[in-house]
Amino acid sequence: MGEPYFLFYQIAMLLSLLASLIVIALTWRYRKAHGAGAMIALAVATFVWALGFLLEANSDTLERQLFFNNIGYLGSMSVPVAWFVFALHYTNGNRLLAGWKVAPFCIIPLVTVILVWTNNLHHLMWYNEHLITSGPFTVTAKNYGTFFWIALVNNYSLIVAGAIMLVRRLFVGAPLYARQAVSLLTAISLPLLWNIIFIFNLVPLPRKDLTPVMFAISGIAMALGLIRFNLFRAVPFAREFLIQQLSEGIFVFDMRHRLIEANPAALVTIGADRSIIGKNIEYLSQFSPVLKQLPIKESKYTELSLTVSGEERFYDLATMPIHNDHNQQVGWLTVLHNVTERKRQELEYKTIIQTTADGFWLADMQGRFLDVNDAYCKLVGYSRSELLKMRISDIEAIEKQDETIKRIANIKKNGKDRFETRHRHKDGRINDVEVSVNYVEVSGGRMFVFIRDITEHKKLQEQLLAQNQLASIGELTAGVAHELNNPLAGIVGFSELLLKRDLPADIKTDLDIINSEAERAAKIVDHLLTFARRQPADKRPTAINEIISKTLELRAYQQKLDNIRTITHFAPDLPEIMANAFQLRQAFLNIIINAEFFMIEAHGKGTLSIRTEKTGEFVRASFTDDGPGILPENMTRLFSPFFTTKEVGKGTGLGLSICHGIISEHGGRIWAESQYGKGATFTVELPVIKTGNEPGEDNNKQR
Amino acid sequence: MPENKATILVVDDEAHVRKLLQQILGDAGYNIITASTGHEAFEKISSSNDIDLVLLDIIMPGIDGFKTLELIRAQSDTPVIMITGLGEVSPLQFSFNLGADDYIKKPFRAKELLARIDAKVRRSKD
Repeated sequence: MGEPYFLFYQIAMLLSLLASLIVIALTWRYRKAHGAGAMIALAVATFVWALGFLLEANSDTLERQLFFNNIGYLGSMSVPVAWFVFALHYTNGNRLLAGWKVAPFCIIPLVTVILVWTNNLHHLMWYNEHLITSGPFTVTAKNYGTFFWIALVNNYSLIVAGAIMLVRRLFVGAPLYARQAVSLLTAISLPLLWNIIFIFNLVPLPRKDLTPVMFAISGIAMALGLIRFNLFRAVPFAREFLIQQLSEGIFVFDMRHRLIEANPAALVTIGADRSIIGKNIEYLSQFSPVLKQLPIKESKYTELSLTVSGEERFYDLATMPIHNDHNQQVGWLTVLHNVTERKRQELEYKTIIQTTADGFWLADMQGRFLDVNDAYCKLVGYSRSELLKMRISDIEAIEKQDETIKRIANIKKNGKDRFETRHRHKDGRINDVEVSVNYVEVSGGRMFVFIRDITEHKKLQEQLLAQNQLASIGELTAGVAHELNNPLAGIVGFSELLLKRDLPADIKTDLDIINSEAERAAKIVDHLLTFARRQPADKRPTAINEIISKTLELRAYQQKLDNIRTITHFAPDLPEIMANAFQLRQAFLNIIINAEFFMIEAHGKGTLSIRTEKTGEFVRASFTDDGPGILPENMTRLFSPFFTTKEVGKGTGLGLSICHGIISEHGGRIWAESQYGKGATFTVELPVIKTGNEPGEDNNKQR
Repeated sequence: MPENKATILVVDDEAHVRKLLQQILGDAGYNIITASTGHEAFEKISSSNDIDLVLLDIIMPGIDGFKTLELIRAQSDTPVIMITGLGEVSPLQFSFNLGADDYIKKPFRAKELLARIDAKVRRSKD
C-alpha cells in the first residue's frame, strides 16, 4: 500500500523538476525581455528546491537527508526573492525598486543559508533532528530554531508582497494581462499553501512534505502561462516602457469608462498626476476639458486646441477600441497627438501662399487642384471651392489636354519647369501667365506651382512691336523716297539744262514732258514722305536717365533669363531734353535689343554698359556691349533700312534705321563705333533744351 | 554771268549729281571743285583758302554730311548748304544746330538752287 504512494511522490517530484526545466527553456528564448531574468531565477530556484527534496527523500541516513535538505534551502530561500523581483518587474514597480535597491531583501535569505550549513554550531535553525518512519517514508524529524521562523516570516512577506502587486495589477491595471497574472499567481500560491499546511500540520497526512507535488503543478501552470498566454511574447513590459516614453499622450479606459492607465505625456497635457487613475471619466471630466471631449462610445478622430502652460497647442485626438486575443472589446485607447508644430508650419505655408502677389496652386499629377491661393482666384475669377473641383485642363487656354499630360510627365522627370502659357478667366478673358513649377515626390507626386500674371507685360510688348512695325513701314517709305529723290534730281536737273539749249521745238516739247513728269514723280515722293513721317510727336521736357531706366525695366526679365548684365553710369543732374518719351524709349529699346542679340549669339551672355553725360549743348547716351563688334565694311550701312547681318528671319534690318529716324527727328544724331571682335558702342546725342531760341538772347546770356 | 568767280565745293557720293551741279553752277559762272566723300571734302577745304561755299550732301557712305559739317565747322566759317533727298525737316534742323547755313531738297530746280547760292555768296563776300 505504501509502494504506490512512494512511487507517486517520486513521479511528482520528477515532473516538478521537468516543469522547472521547461519553464527555464521557454523563458530562455525571451531572456532579454523585461522580467525574464527574474522568471528564470525563479524557475532555477524552484528546480534546486525540488531537487533537494527528491534527493532527500531517496536518502536513508540522517546525514544525507540533512545534506540534501540543506541543498534544498538554497532553492527555497531564493524563490521568494526571485518571485518578488519578478512581480516588481511585471507590475513596473521596478521604477521604485531598481537594481541594488533589491539587495536588502536578500540579506535574510543569505543569512539563513549560511545558518543552515552551520546549524551544528548554533542550532538556530533546528535541533533535535532524528530519523522517523512515516508511512512509506523514512524522514528527518526536527524542532525548528529561532531563525527558522524569522526566515519563514521573511519569505512569506516577500511572496505576499509580490502577490499583492500582481493582484493590484489585475484589478486596476490593464485587464489585458489579467490571465497571465492569474496563471502566475496560481503557480506561486500552490506550493505556498501546501508549505503552510505542512509546517503547521494542518492536515493529517503522512509526515512527508508534499510541497514538491505542488511545485510540479505550479511549474506546469507557469509553463502553461508562458505558452498559452504568451507571457513574454506579449511583452507587456516592453509595451509599458514604450507607453511611458511616448511623446503622444495615451489614455486607457476599461469598458466601464474608468481610466486605467495614462502615460506621463498624457498627464502633463491635462495637468494631472497619477492619482486620477482608477477614476471614472464622468468624474474626471469636471477637471479637464480634454477628458470632457474624450469620446468613448465610438472610434473617432477629432482636433482640439488647449492652453498648456500659457500657450495654445493643437492636438489630434484618436479614440479606438482595444480587443483581446478573442476579439472581445476590453476597453478604449485614446491617443493625444501634439500637432502644434505641424499646425504652425501649415500656418506659415498658408501665410506664404496668401502673401505672394503671384497665384499659387498645389496640384496632383492628374492635374487636379488641391490648394489655390486668393491671388490665383482673383486672376481667373473662380472661387476657391470652384477651383478645387477643377483640373488644369479646365483653365489652360493654349495647350491641349494631351499636351498638358505630356508636360506633367516631363515635370515629374525633370523636377521643375518654367514656361509661359495662357489661362482662361471665368468670364472668358484670356490671361497671359508665366508658370513656375516644382515637383515634390510625396503622396504620389505633388506640383507646387506659382503663376504670374504677365498680361500687362505682354500687352506692352505687343504694343511696342506694333509701333515698331508701323515705324518700320514709315522708315521703309522714307528710305525708298530718299533713294528715288537722287535719280529724280538727275532727271529734273538734266532735262532742265537741256531745255536751255537751242533745240528743235518738237524735242523741246518732249523734254518739257520729261521734266514735268519728273517733277510730278518728285511731288508724289514728297507726299509719300509727308504721309510716312511719324505724326508730329508730342514732345515734352524729358529726363533721359529716366527714359533709359524705364526701357531697361522692360528688358529686365528677359535679360535675367539670357544672362545679360547691365551696368549704368548715369550722370546726375543732366539737363532735360525736348523729347517724345515713347519714341525715345523705342529707339533705346532697339539699340539694347540689338546689343543683347549679338552678345547672346557670340557667347551666350554679356555685359551692357550704359553711360549718360552732357557734352556741350547735347546730352549723350552711349550703349557699350561686349559682343562681337561690327565689321568695318558694315559700319557705313548700319542705319540704312533693310540692312542686317542677322540670319534671315531674325531681323528686318529696320531696327537701327528706325532709331536713326527717331533720333534725327529729335534733332539728335546716332552713330556707332566698334573695333571688330571687341564689342560695339552706339552713341546717341540729343540737344539740350535751350532757354530761348533767338541767337541774340543767347548771346546776351553769354555776355 | 562769268563775273561771279566764286569757288564752290560740291560734295556728293553720286557722280551724276556732282555732274549736274557742276554744269548748272559752271553755266552760272562759278568755279567748281568736287569731292565724292566727306574726307575728300575736308581735305580740300583744309588745303585751300579759295572755297567760298560748300554744297554738302547728307547721306553719304563713310562719314556722312553731318559729321563732315562738324569737321568743317571746327576750322572754318565757310558757308555750307546742305543738300538732301530726305524730305524731313528735322535732319535739317539738326544741321542748323551744327552750323549749316541753308538747305536744298532734292530734286531741285536750277533757279531755286542758284538763287540760294547767290544769296549766300553775296552775303559772305560783303
